[in-house]
Amino acid sequence: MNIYEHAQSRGMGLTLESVLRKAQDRSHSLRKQSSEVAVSLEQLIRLMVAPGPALDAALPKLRSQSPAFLPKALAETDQPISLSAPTAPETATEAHARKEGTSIDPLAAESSNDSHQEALETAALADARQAVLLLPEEELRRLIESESGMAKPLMQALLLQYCQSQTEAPAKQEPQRP
Amino acid sequence: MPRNTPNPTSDSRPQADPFKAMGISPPSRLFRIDRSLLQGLSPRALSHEREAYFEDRQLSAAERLFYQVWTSEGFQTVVFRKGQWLGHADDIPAAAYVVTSGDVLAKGPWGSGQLGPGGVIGLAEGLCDQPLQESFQSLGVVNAKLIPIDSAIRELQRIKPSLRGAFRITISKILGDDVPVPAWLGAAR
Repeated sequence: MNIYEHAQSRGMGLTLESVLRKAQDRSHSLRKQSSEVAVSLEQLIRLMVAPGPALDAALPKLRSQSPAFLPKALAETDQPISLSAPTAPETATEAHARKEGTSIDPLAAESSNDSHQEALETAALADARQAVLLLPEEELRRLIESESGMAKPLMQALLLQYCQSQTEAPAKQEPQRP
Repeated sequence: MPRNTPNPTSDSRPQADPFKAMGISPPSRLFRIDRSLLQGLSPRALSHEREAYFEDRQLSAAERLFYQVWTSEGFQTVVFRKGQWLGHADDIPAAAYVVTSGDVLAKGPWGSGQLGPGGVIGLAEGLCDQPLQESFQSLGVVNAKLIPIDSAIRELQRIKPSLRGAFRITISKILGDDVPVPAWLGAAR
């Protein structure tokens, strides 16, 4: 029994089209979140190159006065940058979990009535979900500043490779023909 | 002595044309940090001195990151002679390199590119157990920071999962969201 038949057998009243449409909507929404997190990689870069108490004062200055510091994609957007995934209104499940003091996966949290649809959508959302970093900026800052090992220079090297990949991306999209 | 690297926005090819000698077309892509921008900053500069310098010169993200990696004492420096290979296409790299001086030729299916100081070879691929898409060969004497992948993985397995999530996302943005990340990078919670 596939998931569609399973849903039908449980009287969910779902059509395959409606499931796919909802999955696509959610996937689009999460991909949008993912792109916003991608933008926030630039904030991660800032945390890596100028960590410390002066960061709060430096961030708005960097953003407003130093377009050269920012990769083109970020410099051209007016969207606020955040390492946190965009927040949505609290659902009944989330409210219950908060009252009970338990934790839930915010992406999977829906009302219990929607749980079966969540299961149906899981596969379609998997890749977009992989790219979402659910981590408040303050938490990330604290983690970075408390890290004394090689993680920080490793991240700096990795972000440098990210900058490099952004520079090279247009040429990679058009393979040369022999 | 470090090479006198020209500004990336100007003609930044090496003066001698090594490509002609190698029988290949000049690379169509270039990534290179102008090290002369960092000449006024001591490798031992204190944090606030670095920040002041970065601000004063309005350095780019890549320039700032390069300085941090270049001056990191955690990475060994290795030297390649002209013509040596830093990595081969389709190989999963056992070590990554950050070029600190000299130039490296990158050859892949989409053409060729040139990596100067700041060029990173094989880090995201190595961490993600993915093969290199290009081969990398030194065009002259190249100094590079060495990052052994196995020790990098051990280090990242030690850090908090939340911070590993930042690594996972960065790797995905470099290699593409369709590249599977290894289980040890885990999911951020």
